[in-house]
Parts: sequence; C-alpha cells; structure tokens
Amino acid sequence: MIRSSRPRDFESSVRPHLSVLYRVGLRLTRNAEEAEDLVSQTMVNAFNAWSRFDGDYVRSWLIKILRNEFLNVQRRKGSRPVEVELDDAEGVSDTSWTEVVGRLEAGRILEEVDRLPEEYRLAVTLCDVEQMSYEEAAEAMDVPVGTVRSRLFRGRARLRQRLGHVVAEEVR
Amino acid sequence: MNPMDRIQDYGDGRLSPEERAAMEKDPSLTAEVDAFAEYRRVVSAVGQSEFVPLSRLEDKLATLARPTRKPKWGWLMVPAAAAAAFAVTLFVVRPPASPPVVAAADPMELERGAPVAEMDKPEFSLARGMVKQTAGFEVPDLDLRSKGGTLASVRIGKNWAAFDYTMDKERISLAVSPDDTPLRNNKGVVEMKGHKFMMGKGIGWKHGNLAYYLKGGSTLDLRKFMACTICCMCEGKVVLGTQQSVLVAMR
Repeated sequence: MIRSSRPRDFESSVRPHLSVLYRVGLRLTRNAEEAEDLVSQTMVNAFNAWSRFDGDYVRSWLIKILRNEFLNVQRRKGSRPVEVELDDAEGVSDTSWTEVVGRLEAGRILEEVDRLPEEYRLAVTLCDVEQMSYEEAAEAMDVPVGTVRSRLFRGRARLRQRLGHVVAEEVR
Repeated sequence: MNPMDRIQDYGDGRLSPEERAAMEKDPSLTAEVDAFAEYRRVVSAVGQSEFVPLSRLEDKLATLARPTRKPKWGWLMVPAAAAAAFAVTLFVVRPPASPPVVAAADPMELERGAPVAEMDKPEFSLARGMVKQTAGFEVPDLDLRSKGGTLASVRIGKNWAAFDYTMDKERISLAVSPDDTPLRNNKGVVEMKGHKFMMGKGIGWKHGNLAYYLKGGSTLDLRKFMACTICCMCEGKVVLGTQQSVLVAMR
C-alpha cells in the first residue's frame, strides 16, 4: 500500500478499467502471462503519472500508457510491431460481411483479429471488441479521429478478407 | 464514399440523421447492415467474455495504490497543534535540562532522505517495477519466499530502496542503492563465501553496480546467513542447507 501525497482516488479510478486493460493487453501481446505483466507495469506507470493526469477519459489514458509500455517492451526485446502503411493495397477487400458473418464460430473471428497488424488490431479491439467511440479510441491511440477511422476500416477490410479465406477453406 | 464505408459509418453511428434516413430507405443495403451489426455484436461478446484474472489484478492495484486513512477532522488538527505549540512557547519557558540525545546513525546506512513511496506486502515483481520507476535503478530478484522470507514492505527513496522481510518472526531490512559512498572507508571487512562484507551495526557489501546493507534480525549469525544468501542470489547461485549448517561451512 502506497503512502504518499498522490491523489487519493487512484485505486477507485483505475479499478473499473482493469478488465478492459487486460483484454486490450491480451490482444496486443497475444499471451495471457505477458498481458498480466503488461497491466501490472501499466498500473505502476499510471500511478507515477497520476498527479499529472488532467483528462476526463481515465480509460483511454490507461490504454495509452499500456500501449506505450507494450511498445517499450517490444523495443527492449529487439522486435517491433510491424508498421503498416495506411494506403496499403492489401487492406482493400471485396469480401462482404454477409459472406462471412454467421458462417464461422465466434472464436474464429477473434483469432483472426489477433492476426491483424498491431495498428489495425488495436483499432478493431477498441472500437469493435470494446465498443469505444472513435473519439475515445483516438485518445487511447494518440492519433486523430480520422486516423482511427481509416485504421479501423482497413483493419475490418483485412479481417473480412481473411475470414472470407477461412470460409472458403471450410467449404472445400 | 464506397457503400461498405457508408455501411460501417452507419453501424458506428457516424452518419447524420438525414444520411441515416437515406440509408434505411435503401433495401439493397439491409442485409449488409444487419451482417455488420451482427459482426460487431459477436466480436464484442466473444472478446469481452474472455477470462480476466481480475482478483489478481485488483490485489496488485490495492498493493500499489491503497491510500492511508487520514484522521477525520485532520485539517482541524493543524491549527490546533500550532496553537498548542505557541502556548507551550509562551508559558513553558524553561531551557532543557540537558542537550537532546541524538541516536548515532550507522555510518553504513544507505537509506538517506525520506521515502517517496512505500508499499505494504507487495509482490516482489511489482516492487521491483516500482523501484525502477521511482528510484531509477534495477534491483536483482531478491524474492526470498523460497528461503521462507516474506516481503513485508518496501520503502523507496530518491536513490535507494529498502526491502523489509519477515523471516521466522524476525524482521530484516535490506537497503539497496547505486551510491556506495556510505560503504567506503569501512574497516571492519570480513570475508565469507568469497565475498567481502563490511561489518557495523548491520552488514554491508557491494555487488555489481549496487551497494547493499542488511540490518535487523536478533543475531549476528542470522544477518551473516542472510547476507550470504542474498549475495549468492545476486549471482544466480542457491545456498543450500539450514542457517546453522551454512554458518558452520562459512567459518
């Protein structure tokens, strides 16, 4: 238990968001143990920065810290998430939602979300899995709202494309 | 804007009321709008139903952040205490009978300055992270659970950290700092298990780029045993045997 002159409501402010933090951590790391470590370190970093927090969205502030910590860990490991160009041609898909939704197990959709490049994966996780608004996701990703939209649309397009392949394989 | 973008904007609630109305009048889009809504429902439901180790995370958060309770009406006590002090100064004007006694500090003490953070019963990994963040240096794995030690509390200063362990109902405190100044010029050097230890009220040593100082415990033997154990842990070695057998082997 910390005894210091920090703001008093850190614990009660962070507690409601632990599940979201863990789930976002799990999508980023794709590993339960690493996700838990990531959330632990995020709590430490957030606690140290708590006196400087002056925003309204605690959840997006925490996710921003989580993502920065994830990138730091990747950097320390010597690996970096694959950056994707926003005008990446691979993001364009002809597959429609009607072709894939209802034909696959729900868990399979999540597996394919986990295979998306990191920037797209985070946008899809925040907006679709966690149902955040573009504005809140933009705060968490530290990018403009327009960037969230384009990453989200490209992420979904890739997802449809991959799910389309899975459906085609299962039909064969 | 292509139809798929419009459908997603519609599903995400990004369209104006007029645009929404226009979309809803177009029967050719209905199936795709429904499929997109179903995708969002399914991916959210499955994603949010994944197991979360919530109790462990809540414990960690509590360890890190539980605030101390301030006495109710504590703000009233400040002026009250000031008034009392003023009254004492006014009416009890006797000089002290003798100069105040100041306890002599151990010259090897690494804890200098007030702690900026304290943690009660933290997990070692969490405390380690906190030390790195707050004091700016990394400590080795000093989790003594396998030796029967429980980490009772951690105090973190600007350039030091002190880990308080409970071992067989005894309290042992280990201070760690990158600044080894207090350990220099100490003459009581003893060699145990190939390491040099500086003996004072406690036991000090250097390992890597860190200085260590162990104090507490009711006997010198316990302090020696713990100093050797921790020193070996820093090197990734394991000390086997009881305290007694290890101490006999050290002599």
